[in-house]
Amino acid sequence: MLRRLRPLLLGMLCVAALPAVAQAEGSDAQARAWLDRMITARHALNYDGTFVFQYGGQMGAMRIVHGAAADGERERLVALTGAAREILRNHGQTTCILPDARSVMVEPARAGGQTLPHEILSSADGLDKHYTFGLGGQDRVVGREAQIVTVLPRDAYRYGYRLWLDKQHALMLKSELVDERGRTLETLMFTALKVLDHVPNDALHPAISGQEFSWHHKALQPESAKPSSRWRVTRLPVGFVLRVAEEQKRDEHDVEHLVYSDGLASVSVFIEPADHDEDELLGPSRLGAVHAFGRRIGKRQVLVVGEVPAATVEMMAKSLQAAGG
Amino acid sequence: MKDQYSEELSAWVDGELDEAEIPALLDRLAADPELQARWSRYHLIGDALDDHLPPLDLSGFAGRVRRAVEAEPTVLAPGRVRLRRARQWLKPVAGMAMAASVSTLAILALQNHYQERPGAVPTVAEAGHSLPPSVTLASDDNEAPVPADVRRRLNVYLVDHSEYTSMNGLQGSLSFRRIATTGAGER
Repeated sequence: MLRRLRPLLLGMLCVAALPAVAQAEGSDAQARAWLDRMITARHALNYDGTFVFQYGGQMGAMRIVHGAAADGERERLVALTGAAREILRNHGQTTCILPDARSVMVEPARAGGQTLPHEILSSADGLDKHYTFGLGGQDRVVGREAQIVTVLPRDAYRYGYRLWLDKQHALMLKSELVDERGRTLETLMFTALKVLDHVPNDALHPAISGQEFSWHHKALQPESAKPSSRWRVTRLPVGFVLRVAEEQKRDEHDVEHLVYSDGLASVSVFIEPADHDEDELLGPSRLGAVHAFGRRIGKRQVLVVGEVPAATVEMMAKSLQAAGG
Repeated sequence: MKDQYSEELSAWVDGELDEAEIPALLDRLAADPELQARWSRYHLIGDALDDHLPPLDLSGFAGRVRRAVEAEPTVLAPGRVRLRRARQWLKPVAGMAMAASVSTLAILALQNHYQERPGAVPTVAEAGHSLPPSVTLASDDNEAPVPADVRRRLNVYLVDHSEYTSMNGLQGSLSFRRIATTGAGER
């Protein structure tokens, strides 16, 4: 099935990408066409690769195995440095196996979680108000010819990217997260990458079953009971809109989760009962280019977090308000 | 004194407590239900992420500690008293660091890594607002190591956040790298 499907998927990829490239009027359109190809390739191809990355003063390496089948995608990420953590994605469900903590976390598949960014890239032209799309030069990464594509932020409220895309398959080979002045904040690079006809089943199976670990299932509130959150951020960077408002149960307490995004950058807002513990994340904190800002509002603890500058999360956290209260 | 044990507990959970301090802390934990509750809460907060201790039945753990201490009072007691006295002497030396809560410490550490940015004033959605100068900070120093406890707490939220960005961001599933990696010495 997989073998029979693959030419079809590749065909779709070419059909989708070629006219866009042909009609490209400037490097802006060409860059968007490349990104479009990248996102299609990421989901449609089978591949097995190893990448290294750097952030927050440390380096790490991971392996990613991706399998595309008619009934959906399967993916496995394995940490090759530090604890042997694994993340498995199976038709939208995410399982994190954390042997160092002897625990397994399971996130259910989300309805509407399948929104692919290339739909956003091609439909919402508003993006070019906030980012400059362009083509960089040619380069070579992991032994493959690469086209550099740049997505640079137009203001200091979001980050952008320099991406090295494989000329043959359009898979991302290297990525730099950059700020609005073009400075590199984080780097990620593949050191091995194979595009496969099909992925052997055992490559997608975790090395550890985690059966003897403690399992944490996160439950999303049933659709009918899901409240539309009364919380709203009142000061947002231009272009950011509310995309998700959901309530989840984490262990004993309810957590409201809002996601604001401009189409590329996204910021999560978490609102939960304050437990009067000194241990909450208050004020600014960061993990590499991920910034967070925490505060108390009445009996609530709020944390705003995203791969955006510190100013963005701080402004959002400080302007969060409960409607009608 | 209560705060002191809270700090120690926090340090222990983060794997940063001196081994010599552990007996005194265990003793305190066995006797103090509030501290036990805090202990359980730390683990719930962390969703057991980055935990150096097995996520046992948490309520049962405190009980087991108490029973263990009760069973061996003579072994633990003498050292304990001396340690606590030693800590009283230590306290003024360590001064601010020990008085500050773990989160305050983390924030203090972070603030050292922020720099004022002279760049353009960003545009904001709502008219009439611009950022006060104190907020236009850039995170230039990307090499700053992240304190283990900050990493652990952020991780909990990053699982949910990455779930969204993996579907919608340019880096796709690779955004999960942040929650799948542990710092040196965090295993």
